[in-house]
Amino acid sequence: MEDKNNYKELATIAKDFSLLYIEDNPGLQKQASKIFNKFFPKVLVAQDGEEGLNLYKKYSPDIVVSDIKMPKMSGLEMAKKIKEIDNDARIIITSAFDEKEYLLESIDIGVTKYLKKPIPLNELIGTLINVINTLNEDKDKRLFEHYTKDAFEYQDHILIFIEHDKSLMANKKCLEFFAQENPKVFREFFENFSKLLLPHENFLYEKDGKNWLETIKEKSGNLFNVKLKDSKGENRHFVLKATKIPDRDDCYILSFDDITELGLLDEENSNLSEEQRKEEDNIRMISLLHVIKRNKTKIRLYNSYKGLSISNTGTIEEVMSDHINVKTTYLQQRAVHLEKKTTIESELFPKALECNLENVNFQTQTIALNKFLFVPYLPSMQKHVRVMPEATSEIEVYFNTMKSPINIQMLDISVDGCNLSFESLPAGLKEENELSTKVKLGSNTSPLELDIKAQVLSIKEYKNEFRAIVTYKLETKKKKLLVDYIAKRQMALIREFKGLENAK
Amino acid sequence: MQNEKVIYDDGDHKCIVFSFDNEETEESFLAVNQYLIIQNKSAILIDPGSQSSYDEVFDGVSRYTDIDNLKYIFYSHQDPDVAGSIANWSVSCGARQIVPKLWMRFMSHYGLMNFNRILALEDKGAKIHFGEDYLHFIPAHFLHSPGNFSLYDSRSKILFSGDIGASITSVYGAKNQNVNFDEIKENMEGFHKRYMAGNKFCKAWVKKAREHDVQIMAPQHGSLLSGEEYEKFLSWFENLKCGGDLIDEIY
Repeated sequence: MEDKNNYKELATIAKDFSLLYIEDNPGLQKQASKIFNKFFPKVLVAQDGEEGLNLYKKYSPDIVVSDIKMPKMSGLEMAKKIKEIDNDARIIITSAFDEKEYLLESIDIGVTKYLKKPIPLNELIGTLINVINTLNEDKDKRLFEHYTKDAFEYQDHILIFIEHDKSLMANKKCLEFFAQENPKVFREFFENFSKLLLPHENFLYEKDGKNWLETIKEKSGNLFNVKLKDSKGENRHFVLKATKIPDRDDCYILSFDDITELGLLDEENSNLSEEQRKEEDNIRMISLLHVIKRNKTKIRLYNSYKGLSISNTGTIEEVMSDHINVKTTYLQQRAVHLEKKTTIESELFPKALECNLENVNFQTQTIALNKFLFVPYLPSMQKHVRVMPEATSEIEVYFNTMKSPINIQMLDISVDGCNLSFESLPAGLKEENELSTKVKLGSNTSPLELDIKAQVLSIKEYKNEFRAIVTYKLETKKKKLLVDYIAKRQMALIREFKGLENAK
Repeated sequence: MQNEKVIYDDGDHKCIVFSFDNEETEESFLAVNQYLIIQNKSAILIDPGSQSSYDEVFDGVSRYTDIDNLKYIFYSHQDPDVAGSIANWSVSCGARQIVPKLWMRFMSHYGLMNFNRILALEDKGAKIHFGEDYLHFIPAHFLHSPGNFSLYDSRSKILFSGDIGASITSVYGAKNQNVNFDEIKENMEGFHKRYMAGNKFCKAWVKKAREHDVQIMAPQHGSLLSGEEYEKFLSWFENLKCGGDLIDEIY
């Protein structure tokens, strides 16, 4: 039964392959050829090694089956010469001799299999099945390599395959863009690639001695804006991404996606009305969101709860003209739900993007956001942890040695600054002024009381209040006390946030 | 200062060991080391320790650099003697907190909700630039923590090995670099046999460690090992039967 199955299998898989058979014994040759012809569409037969080699050179058969001892040229001599032509040639040696010497020589030459005569038919068939299977695997591998090479070659993006800081391969688009003849010439060209990255605000280029390649490798998977000049001398805007090749040390594919058409490099057109500018901004932003989604790159979402920053990464799942769907963590979803808005940052955005919440889907872990607006601040620039002090906390402000009688509230506090809300502004107070403050933080029973000398960093007027950010550099003892207070307050706020029923 | 020592200094790059904490039981005394690497105006604090040692470590760091120069704080794993002070350190400065990704879910318990401040290490580790040189985070999982890393500093060639190589010693013995491995082997054995998960992990870590040119091994507990003594430790550790290999002793 097993024999029959093997016959069937060989008959099926051998139909695309050719075989060369070399045997000087006419009887055996006739008998074996008959069997081979049952399975293989093309069988070549030779009487000795010399004839076998000539047939091999002429027809390049897929499989060679050969005897050892033959006139003119032995089977092993022939196998050696065939291997010199094609190291991947599949050669099966058959021999009536059980001599170790032959076997060892066969191994040295790299023959595929050594079979001892008389060969049971089932063993021969089993061997041929195995050989054909390995040939098919090789064929698939070559096909895959061919097509991936094709995909690499004809991609619409510029692609460069690098190992350490050397270019190994560059695709057609890349060679065309940089007017380089071939990947070998490009290799030398790539050594000075850093000089091609043109300076532009918030773009990637060599600055302060920081190597551009190391920067993108450290943030592999992130997107970077880069500006390059094409061979005609025109500036082009690309989105650059480095993807690490798994299991290959320090190997990356650099991909450059040309987004010049979005016009982000252009100076703002001052002739546009406010409405037209907003419309143009919106079109550019939607295009950027598409680029981020296409590259499956993470964005960062920022929210806050009573001054405490809550931030996680997310991915853009869908981009429509009036809303986007973002997948993020459960914690961030809750924070967005509570604030009804979030601020998004991406390396690709010129500024942070504020969006309103449309709806939350806790099952799919997604949030729908709309009404996008670029805002002139980056939440990621906030260096220190801030917290809103308890309602019982108080602050007294002394300006020009006079205590301010105005009602002042601490909106949030950190180790290097405080955000204050004034009902009205003390007379003459302006930015860079020095202030003395007496701060009482925490519960009434054991408050932390600190005298802090501060400087006004900024003042902004709102509808019913003025807000001032004051900064300070505390001496070690006071700093440690404030650190301790903020760390405890931070914990209390986290507990409060997690316990909020309306957060979900 | 009796419990701090500069273990590397080439003018631009400096490594300091502090031993501001200890773990005392009836039978043993385990000194807890904290490390600081400074290169010009950048610094990284390694395994800053428990909340109770925060004040002393803060003062220790301040003696060498401004707290605001801390660019990174690295927590090799989640134990309280490593990461107990996360909340305080996250408030003190703007440094990025480097933690094994496995422990990200614990961060809100430690008081961190701003995940932009965290650099989460994937299982295979990472290599980051530090001044002109680099820091390599080497997987040390299950030795003992399931999410754990050692840190190799390419400039000083010091391997900060976390719990690996920990030995029971007095607080003053911690900074001794001229330790003979054979003399402290006995002090290491009990801890490693009980805390490390199994020989398979020891072997994997030793293989990774050998990829680097290590001059000094600086563990989180006990003495530093260098040169031949470090080599002796590697040979001992890669053959150590521990944890799951000795399951019958504890079950």
